[in-house]
Amino acid sequence: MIGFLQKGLLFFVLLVVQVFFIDQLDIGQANFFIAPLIYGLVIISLPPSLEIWLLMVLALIMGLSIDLFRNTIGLNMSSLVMVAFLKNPLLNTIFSKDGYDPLKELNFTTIGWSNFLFFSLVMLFIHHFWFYIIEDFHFNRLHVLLLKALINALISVGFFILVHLITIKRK
Amino acid sequence: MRNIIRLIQSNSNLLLFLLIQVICFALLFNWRNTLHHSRYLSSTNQVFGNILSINASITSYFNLTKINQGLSLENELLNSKLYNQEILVSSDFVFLNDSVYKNQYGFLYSDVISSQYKNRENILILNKGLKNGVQLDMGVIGDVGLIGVVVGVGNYYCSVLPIINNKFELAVRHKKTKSFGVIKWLSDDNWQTATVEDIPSYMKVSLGDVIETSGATGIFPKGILVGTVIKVEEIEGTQFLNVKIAISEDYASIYNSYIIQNKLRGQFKLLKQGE
Repeated sequence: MIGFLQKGLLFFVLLVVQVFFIDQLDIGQANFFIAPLIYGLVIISLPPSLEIWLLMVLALIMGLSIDLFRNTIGLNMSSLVMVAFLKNPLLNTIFSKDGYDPLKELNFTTIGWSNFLFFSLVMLFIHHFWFYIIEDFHFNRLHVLLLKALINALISVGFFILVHLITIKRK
Repeated sequence: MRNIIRLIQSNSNLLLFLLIQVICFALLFNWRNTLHHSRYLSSTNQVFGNILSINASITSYFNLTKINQGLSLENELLNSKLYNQEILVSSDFVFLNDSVYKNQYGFLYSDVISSQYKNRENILILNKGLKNGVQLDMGVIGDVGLIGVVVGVGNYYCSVLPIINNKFELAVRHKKTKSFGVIKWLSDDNWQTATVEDIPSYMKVSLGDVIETSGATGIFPKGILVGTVIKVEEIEGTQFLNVKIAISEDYASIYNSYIIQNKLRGQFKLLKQGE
């Protein structure tokens, strides 16, 4: 229960950072290319034992709350549900069954730095790519979208590391 | 029958996923295809409007210098227009409230409380709504030039479709030659540029020329600055030019705006229907 409350709080913080900080950030010429989506962290890090349907409903609610601020009803919803749906199958293909503990949440300490780095990069790439495709909705700039998705996924992973370093329990 | 139920049971997650995606796409395309969308599911409703305006009230402090500079530059321009108008050119008396003149456009000041410029479908939110007399299809201009058109109105907030949205289309004209074109935001444009189509290729358009509103839609008055030309291309096989412009309003730092009310819009619409 406390875990879920923590996740809820984390999502709230990420929403505020996404809508009021990252979306407003002015970085000159790169503005148009760099627009990372960081709120996927909550869905990616929830424990794999969670039922997929529950995960998808959570993703739906989170996506809707982001969409209400960004005025793009359906866009963030669709891409986050995509992430939720592909999470467990991808986890099983990338790692073997004993590679992770399904009851624990996924982060840099529970499944190792390199593993989580790779896994979250793949998930974020899917998230961004799906988002850009249905945002643009035509396919003549596919190479640009691929590059854009890759770069923004890398930036978001950097942000994940930052969040991890902030929230980590020091012993 | 039992087989169908078993099929549904074994693929329940996939089916739920597909169902959710269908709902998302339905919402998304319903949203995209109708320009004037429901105000309950958008930032023009009061809850989200309030949150956005709190954020805007905090962040606007950081930009006070910039806002003030913009306003004083605009005051300078307006002053020069105002005083130049009052030169007496004939010996006749001119009455101030002469019924020959009719005030066609009304202006309403409004703060931009939320602006986007990184997406393909950017929307701005202003803090004026139905209670202030804002209606759909009113024009919005900024300190420098054109911003966009009102597409959604709540009680206290309204949403604006800026030039940098791929649904935006407006009739504009080239200031020197007065030839009409249509401004669009294509997929190769970024948040500082836009494309003007349909200007005939025999018109001499050179770099640095001004593109302004044509007044043809009845939303904006004539002659509001839209942008300056940065690239001219002839489209092969057609008789039209493809003109890239730099938008004069900077969407990355936009705080002041004026909503334009055309008091003769009703007559204009009647005429359009008669066509």
